[in-house]
Amino acid sequence: MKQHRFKANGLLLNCVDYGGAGKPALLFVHGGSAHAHWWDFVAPAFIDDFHALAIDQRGHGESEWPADWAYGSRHYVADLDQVIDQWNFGPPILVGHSMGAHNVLVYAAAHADKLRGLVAIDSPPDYSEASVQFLRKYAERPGRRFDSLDEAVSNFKVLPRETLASKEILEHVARKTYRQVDDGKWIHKIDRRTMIREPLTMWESLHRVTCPALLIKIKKSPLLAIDQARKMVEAMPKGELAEIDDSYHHAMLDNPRGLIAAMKKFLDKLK
Amino acid sequence: MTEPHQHLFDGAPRLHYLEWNSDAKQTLILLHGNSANAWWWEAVARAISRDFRIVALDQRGHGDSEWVQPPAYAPREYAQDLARFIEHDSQLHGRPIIVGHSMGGLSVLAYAAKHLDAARGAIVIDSAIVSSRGRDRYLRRLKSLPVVTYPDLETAKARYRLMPNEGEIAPEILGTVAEKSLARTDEGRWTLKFDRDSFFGGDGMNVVEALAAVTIPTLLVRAENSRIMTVEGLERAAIANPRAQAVTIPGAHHHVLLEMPAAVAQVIEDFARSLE
Repeated sequence: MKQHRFKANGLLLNCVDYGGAGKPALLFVHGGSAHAHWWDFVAPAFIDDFHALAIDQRGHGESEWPADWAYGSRHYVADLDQVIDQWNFGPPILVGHSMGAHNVLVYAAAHADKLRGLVAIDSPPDYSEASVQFLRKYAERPGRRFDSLDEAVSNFKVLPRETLASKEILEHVARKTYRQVDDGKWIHKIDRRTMIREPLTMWESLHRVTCPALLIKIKKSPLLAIDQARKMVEAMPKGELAEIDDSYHHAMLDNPRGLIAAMKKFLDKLK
Repeated sequence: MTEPHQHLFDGAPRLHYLEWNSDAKQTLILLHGNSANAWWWEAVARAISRDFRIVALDQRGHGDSEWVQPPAYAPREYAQDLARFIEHDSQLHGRPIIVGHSMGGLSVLAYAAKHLDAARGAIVIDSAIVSSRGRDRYLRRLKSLPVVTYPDLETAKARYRLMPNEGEIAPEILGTVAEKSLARTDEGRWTLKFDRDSFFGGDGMNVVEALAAVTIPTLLVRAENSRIMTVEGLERAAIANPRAQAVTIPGAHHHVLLEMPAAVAQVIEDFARSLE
């Protein structure tokens, strides 16, 4: 797989290229504590019609960390803006999951004119002060250290905890989640300060998401209620809703085929 | 419209409850655990199919339901409230399926042991079937803790903790529960929204005996890493009521409703469909 490096706001950001260069860009944006390779079972399905790419957001995966804390949606959005302005892949369709979906929606509310469209997956319209407080407690705990990559991989967990993903998929993602440090131990690649976030509410800005926008509600996921989802879609001028089944929150791991099918229906119109 | 609908059910005590999918035929009635409230079911309810009408009661002394003086917080008293609700709920088509977590599971068993056919089935999630000396000591210590209040809502939310404090819970879910679990005191400070006199009123019930008396289909759900519904407890349950089924949610801790809501929803849904 090809990789790109983009410099955004002084940080080198890693971007995986799955192929399809020359076609409309389709950029996948992962959620909190995840990384670009979470999309490995979804992104390649689109290269016949799109140039499929997945970015490691700042503080995640192979991308650099800011010196001081800068992990609000506004910071990720500023990175997306610089990446999209400098690349020569044209106006993209952004696909975000969870925190990545927040970032994609916040970006679109400010720069809908630079987008061909967007897909937001299982993302509630708010991230409350209380949520920020509880996540901060996880941030304050030191990350676990493992003696070997195998040990780290066998302890890999997602949050929320439930997953229907196959062992193979989980192991694939887990193997790309850890790195070895100087004393030989293995740790999560994440900058734990990414778990210090900022409260967010999107109700006031969704009307500015004027590009074609697909919101994907995962039937079995508790994070986004169906009537919240309907309200969000109504608020976006070109909003559409799709629902997928056989998956919990982490749809790209739990049910990649279902996610691909739901996205294709929408993306067929944006080829 | 924001989900869920909130209602008051008149009577003594007056009960507050949440309702999802009010038009669906089969009703699930959900009872929360000690010092919790109906909002603890929100994440589970969202993950359950819209084919089910879901009612989550604030049990007496909890959430926005009335407190009872003198204190009357034994499982049979919670079960009386459930009986009253099932008798008068005009939206009920056919018999409900009753589901309880922790102390709520004891309410469910106390009800099912007395009203033999009134419910279609019962689900008990991580309730203590047998106690131990260590657990008794833990409960006594909790009961003796003073009521803590906080000067403002932000501090109260920041200090919100689960008991037992175990398992990693998505902050979005814990955030909502914290917000819905706090209330203003008369002095303008903030505290948890439940009557301290209700604390562990379920303790002391003979759960094995109740289980033996239950005749409706019953499912016991154990959170694998919890020390509350123990393997020993499940063995005793199997002796008392061999018809009861048991299932374990792998990797889960006691607050499985918050930690793995979608897995709990799946267990409830599968059991409910098996009774159709």
